[in-house]
Amino acid sequence: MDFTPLFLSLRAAGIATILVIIIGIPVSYRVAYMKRGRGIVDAVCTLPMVLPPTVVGFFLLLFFGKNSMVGAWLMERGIPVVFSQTGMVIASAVVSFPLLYRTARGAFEQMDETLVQAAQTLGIGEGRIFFRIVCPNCMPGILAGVILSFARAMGEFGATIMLAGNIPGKTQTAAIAVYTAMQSGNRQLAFQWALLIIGISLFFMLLLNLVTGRRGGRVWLWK
Amino acid sequence: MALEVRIKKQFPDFLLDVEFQTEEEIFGVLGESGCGKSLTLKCIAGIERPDQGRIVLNGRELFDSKKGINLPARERKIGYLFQEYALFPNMTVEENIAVGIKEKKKGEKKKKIHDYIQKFFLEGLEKKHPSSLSGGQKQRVAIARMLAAEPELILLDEPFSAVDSYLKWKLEQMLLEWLEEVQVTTLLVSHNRDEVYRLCDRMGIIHKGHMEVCGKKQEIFQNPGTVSAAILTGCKNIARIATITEGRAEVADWRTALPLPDGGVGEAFTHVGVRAHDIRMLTVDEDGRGSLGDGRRGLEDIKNTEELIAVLPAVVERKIEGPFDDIYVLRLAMQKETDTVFRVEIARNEGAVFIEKQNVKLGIPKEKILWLR
Repeated sequence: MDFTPLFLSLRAAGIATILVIIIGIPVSYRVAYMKRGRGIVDAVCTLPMVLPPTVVGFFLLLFFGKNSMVGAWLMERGIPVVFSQTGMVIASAVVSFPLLYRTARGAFEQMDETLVQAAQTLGIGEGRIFFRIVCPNCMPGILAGVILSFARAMGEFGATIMLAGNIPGKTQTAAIAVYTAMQSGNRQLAFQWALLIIGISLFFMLLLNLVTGRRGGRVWLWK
Repeated sequence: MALEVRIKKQFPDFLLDVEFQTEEEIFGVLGESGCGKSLTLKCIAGIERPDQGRIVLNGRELFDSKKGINLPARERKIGYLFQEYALFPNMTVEENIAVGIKEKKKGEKKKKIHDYIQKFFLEGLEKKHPSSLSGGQKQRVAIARMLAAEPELILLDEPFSAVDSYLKWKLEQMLLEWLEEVQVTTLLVSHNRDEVYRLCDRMGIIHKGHMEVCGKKQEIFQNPGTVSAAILTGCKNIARIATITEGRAEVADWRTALPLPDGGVGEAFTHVGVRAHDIRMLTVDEDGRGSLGDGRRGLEDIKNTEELIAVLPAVVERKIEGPFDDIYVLRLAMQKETDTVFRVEIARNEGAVFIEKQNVKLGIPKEKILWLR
């Protein structure tokens, strides 16, 4: 059994998760305290979670394809997206974004807002409030979002196969390997991959429960 | 002029319209819950933005809707003690206090933190997190954190509402000492009249988003002026004036007409009130004459010492024993069931004891009647 698809999956999901953290946490914080237009922004941010991954893949193809401005611009700079590992990362990031976004937003909304108000009256700047008070106090929620998001990116299939294709050794992830093995009639290989994926996913869900379990996060983080 | 506030903020079903000025003092704001007192503090602190008005602190304009000035909370230098203290749960006691200190030099900062820890009796708790502190300790950390940021104004939002009553007295005295030491203008918001009276010299009363009265505490308690101020300062017996004719106010609920106070002719009084402990309760002898419950003084004796504006026959309906007072609920004789009742409080050591169903007379001293608008 060649483990390349697994490493490809882990790497793409890892990079995608980092992207999602960088973009998703500020966005969810912003939406949590948004007054106007909140419903629309929230719906758009959640959309990739409920759309069929093929639809997401289809629009990503349109957006990053050779005939689009973005795709052509990236191509000129030697960053092809379609049929590339960049495409894998982008597809995984878009599909897993809503999971982090929604979990983190919930955590921000549930945080006692007097903490932020108290920090403001103490003269602390907004950036310091965010990193020293908001984030630490929402850490269980943020971590849960990160884990969910990573697990989702690991299992990403539809959008990835649409955008990045199924190139063995390059863009063939573990999830796609199951599909390919079945297609070529290799049931035993498909079974092995399936078991491996179940094992990995189960591990992450157990980790999730450890982080969000009753008082789990708090004890684990600072007590 | 230390603090000058004039703000308006419209909500769908509520208008906040508050105006007052303080000296360098502890100024009390009394109001029932939901009247807009916390909202007023939040507007002053810069957490909420008023629709219009002006807030000036020690000559510094914090907010002016006409000039378009609205300093963010972090630049206002206002300390805010939240009801639940709002300590940062992820930081230790030490870190909570350190977070608002502007001092950059490490050694100086450390010394400052240590000073506050010592002053607020927090030694040994430096490395603890707020979740493992008691209510009193949390409050001390919150006050230390607030003072460490060196505010020019201190806002206290129901500071003792989350504290056990036996701790309250001690904390109140400590707070008073600390505030006297730092000499910073303070606004204390509370629904507890005793708290406000004990801690402040001047006070205001907010009712339904509006600052109704404002002045020296003794004057406000002696003459609240408005019905809501009378209720908030603890007046239990308030009745509506039906009509005012020829210098007399007809009070239907009390079945009597009271002569207006000197200089009160022409004023638009709507209610009268009398505090529960200001009513004299007299027994009725067989010949119909009243005397004090212990029999030492009769109606005539009382009339010699204070002028009674009205003497009302009544029946004791219920007697409730408080820890140090007896509380009597009475109904005027010949009054219908639905009519208002009187509440009279008599300190137990005064010795006057009455029983339920007993016929008595209620003497209302002229000096104690509250004329209200």
